[in-house]
Amino acid sequence: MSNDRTHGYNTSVGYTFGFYRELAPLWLDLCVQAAGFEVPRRSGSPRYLELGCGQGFGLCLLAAVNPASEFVGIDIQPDHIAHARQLAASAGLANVGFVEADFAELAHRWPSDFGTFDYVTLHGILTWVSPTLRQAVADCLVHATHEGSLVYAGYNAQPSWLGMIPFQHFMKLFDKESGKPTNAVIENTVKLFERLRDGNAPGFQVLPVLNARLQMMRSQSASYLSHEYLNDHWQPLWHSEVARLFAQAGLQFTASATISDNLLPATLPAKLRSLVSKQGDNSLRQDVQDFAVNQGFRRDIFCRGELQPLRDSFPPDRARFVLLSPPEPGADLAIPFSSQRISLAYREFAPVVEALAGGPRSVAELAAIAGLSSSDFRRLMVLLQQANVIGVMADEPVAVAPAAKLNAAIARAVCDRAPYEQLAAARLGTAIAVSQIELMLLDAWLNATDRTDANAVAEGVWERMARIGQKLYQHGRQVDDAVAKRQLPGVAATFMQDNLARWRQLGVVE
Amino acid sequence: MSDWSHGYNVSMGYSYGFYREMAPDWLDFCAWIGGFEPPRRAGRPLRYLELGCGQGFGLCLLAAANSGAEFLGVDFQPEHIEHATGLAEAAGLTNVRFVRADFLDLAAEWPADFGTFDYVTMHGIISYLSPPLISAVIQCLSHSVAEGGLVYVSYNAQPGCLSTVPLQHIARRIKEIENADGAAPAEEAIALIDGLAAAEAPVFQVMPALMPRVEALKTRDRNYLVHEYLSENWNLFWHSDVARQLRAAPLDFVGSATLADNLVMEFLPQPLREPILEQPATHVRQDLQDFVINQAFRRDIFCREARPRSGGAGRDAMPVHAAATVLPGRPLTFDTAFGQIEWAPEVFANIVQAVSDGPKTLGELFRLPRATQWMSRHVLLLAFHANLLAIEAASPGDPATAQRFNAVTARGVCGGAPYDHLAAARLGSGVRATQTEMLLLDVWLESGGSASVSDLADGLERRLSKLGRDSANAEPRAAARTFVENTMPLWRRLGVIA
Repeated sequence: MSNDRTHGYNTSVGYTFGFYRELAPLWLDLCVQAAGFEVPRRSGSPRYLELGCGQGFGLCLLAAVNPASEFVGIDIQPDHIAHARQLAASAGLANVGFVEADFAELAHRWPSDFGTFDYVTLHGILTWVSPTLRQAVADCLVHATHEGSLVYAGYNAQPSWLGMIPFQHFMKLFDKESGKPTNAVIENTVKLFERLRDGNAPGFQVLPVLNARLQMMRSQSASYLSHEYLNDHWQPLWHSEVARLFAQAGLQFTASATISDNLLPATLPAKLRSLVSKQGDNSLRQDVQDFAVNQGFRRDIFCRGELQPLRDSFPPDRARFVLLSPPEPGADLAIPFSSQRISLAYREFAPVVEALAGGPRSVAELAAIAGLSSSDFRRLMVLLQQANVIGVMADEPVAVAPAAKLNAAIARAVCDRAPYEQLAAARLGTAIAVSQIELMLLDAWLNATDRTDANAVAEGVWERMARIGQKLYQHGRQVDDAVAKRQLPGVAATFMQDNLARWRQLGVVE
Repeated sequence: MSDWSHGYNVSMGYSYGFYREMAPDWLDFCAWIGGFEPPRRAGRPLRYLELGCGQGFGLCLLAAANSGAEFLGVDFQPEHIEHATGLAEAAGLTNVRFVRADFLDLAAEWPADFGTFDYVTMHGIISYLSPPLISAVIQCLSHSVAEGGLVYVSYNAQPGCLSTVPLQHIARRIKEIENADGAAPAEEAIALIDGLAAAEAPVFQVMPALMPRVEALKTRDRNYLVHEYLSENWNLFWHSDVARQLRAAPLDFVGSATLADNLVMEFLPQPLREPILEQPATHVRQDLQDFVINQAFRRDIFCREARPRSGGAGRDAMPVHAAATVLPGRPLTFDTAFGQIEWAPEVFANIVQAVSDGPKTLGELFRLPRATQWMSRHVLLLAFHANLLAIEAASPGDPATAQRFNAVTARGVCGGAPYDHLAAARLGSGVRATQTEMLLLDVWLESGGSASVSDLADGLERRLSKLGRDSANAEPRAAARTFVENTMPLWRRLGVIA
């Protein structure tokens, strides 16, 4: 399954078409501020590089919502690069380029026309490559960064992933030795572990993480599972290992792109907090903290050179927030926080959420409404962002046209079975998650002769669904075709009235 | 008697231990249980090599207990070789030699005068070697193992050691940051993890195996901590990783020297046994078994050109000894890979009784009437595992040689050395001895074998006080009487004393 060209990286199944909000430039800047630093000063239009960009879907979204920036994506898999280029071309994106390249070669000979970047991101790849290739990544970072560059690295962390080592071991062993196709290897390994769990194997009792993750596997795609587990190399990393590697490129750990992790260790119980805080060495402190909270995934932001401390409070006064996903009225929020959940009482966040229900507000307005101390207000705003309840808006002026054009291409592709699940939101500087039916509604609406006629839009959606055999779902249940056809005009009308209005506000459509 | 033992230096480090699993006859027996024909050939003395012999105590003990065999110990550290050579000389051992050598050099060119060996053993070392050195060790094996030869390799195993990864990592980080020597970083890491547990850090809910291991470490000596947790390389292998590498030597897996590990499949419940047995490859079955039992330490036996065992009765005539004196009427508790086993006295009473005044053959013991629901085969094999029974050597050594070594060992303990085994010529192996027994042996030997119970008690008291131990609660007289009445007769039968 592996060969030399790919350094043992499993290339048998294409990688997912994911988008991770933490890779957005605006989000990275925000997290740097949340950690108490000024965003580095930049000259000219920002440049952004993704190492290991996969199918390029995420990078195209970022390019569309940041039309004044320049994006470069690098990946070793030709099919990934081909897909990424085709998507960019179909949306007429002029500010993103994709390059098929090998990190080992780039480390050796960095193309002079690549230049340096204000943002460099790598999502996951450190986990999946050999120590030699991790070193090559560090060498690439020496070439790719300048003073003030931010580098994002997302990776499977110690100690939580230790519990998955047995599973990974067996899946890889079966892949190498059974001669069976990838999907069968995945299925057989999952089944074997389910049997051992059901037989109460002591191995499960000492590694409860394995049990929890095994439960999740039934809903995870083969492409995710093969990329996670079937590489020759698979190594959960400690923060200190990554910090040491990146120090070679003059990079210092600055913040976490898991925005709520920037609240650590202050949010830990007092005894735990003091044990973590008293570690004098920065990277040891992170390791001890990760150990204490059983960290599962780190999203580190490193910066080349020193950053100034944040002059303002967080969030900065001039920032404007918008409501993204309003919580159930009256219900408390349980927000995933490291290995735990942190609970936010409804009365704590109600004033902010209710104010935002009437439209975007500035931080100064929200702070006045919330009536909290500045540290409690920071905590509240960080947790609401972590929970995706609120989002920060991009600075005006915002050009919506490139995002709208990409979204049209995405919606069209989904009607031809593409697995995309996000749309670009120009006014947020990021993307938002959408359902397949919403994407089909968008395509039907964009192509309707009369964009005010809900019946015509419904008719268009019906044709699209029929062509690819898509069913309508309500409350998680498949709806009968005849019923679906009757209900679609109502669905279309709601979409045109509510979704489109919201999407206009977020810069999804023009 | 030489005074080399006074040079005992606690800072020198590793391995004053003896492991019965490394004795040639034990390896033969385990390979036989694993379904393979032991390689022993009649007609010439067996040759035994230990790679990474440390302080050489274990190898000297084996040489003393197997005076008809030839032993070679190799280690990288000059102070280890110096200690080992000094011990061999003090004990007058002429059948063991120690050589300081680097595995990389040996891999490149195997010294012609080393020759090949029937047994090659490596205790723990591959857990602490860098990948290039592991490759060199494999190369050494391909040079050194005779046809049919057995290789013993023990190592920290997956997945049982996974829960100690955070401890090892934090200890190493502290060592790097503080640039500190000795056990301090490991002790700091243990204290830190203790503190985090007291502060109820969430990690302990998902790593339930960590705290028990940390607790167990608190009783281990500092040298062990340094060696185990502060070494630059710290590998956790699956059996299949090791088996794959050794296949290049070429060597095949034949069984485990942890005797009860060979019985795991017979003790697992059906729902766990079935998925393991469905796997066609031995190494996959071993890995799965290790996952199921949460294996933390393996003692693998490999063989060059292994011959599967033919027929069943091959070991019927093997003499079996009592390995220790057992007080009647007490239950017995011991650990196995498939859980802790508690035996009521009647499970094993007839076996203990049968060997109480001399050896019986394996066949005789096997045919004893079953006293409980336990299968005779399981009782018998687990009695070896639990150290109730010991195998008589195929070619027992000379008790006088063993006694000479044991005298040096006992004198060493009087000077503070942490030895806890004595050579047993009849077994070609070692037996466990407490500090009190060691001191009493020293008294007895010093008296030329004429000491009375009260002489022994007085001598014991003097030695204890010299070691700074409080003998007030030790009841030296009772200890001396037990020594004379129970221990000495057993030791005479086992060839510990001549």
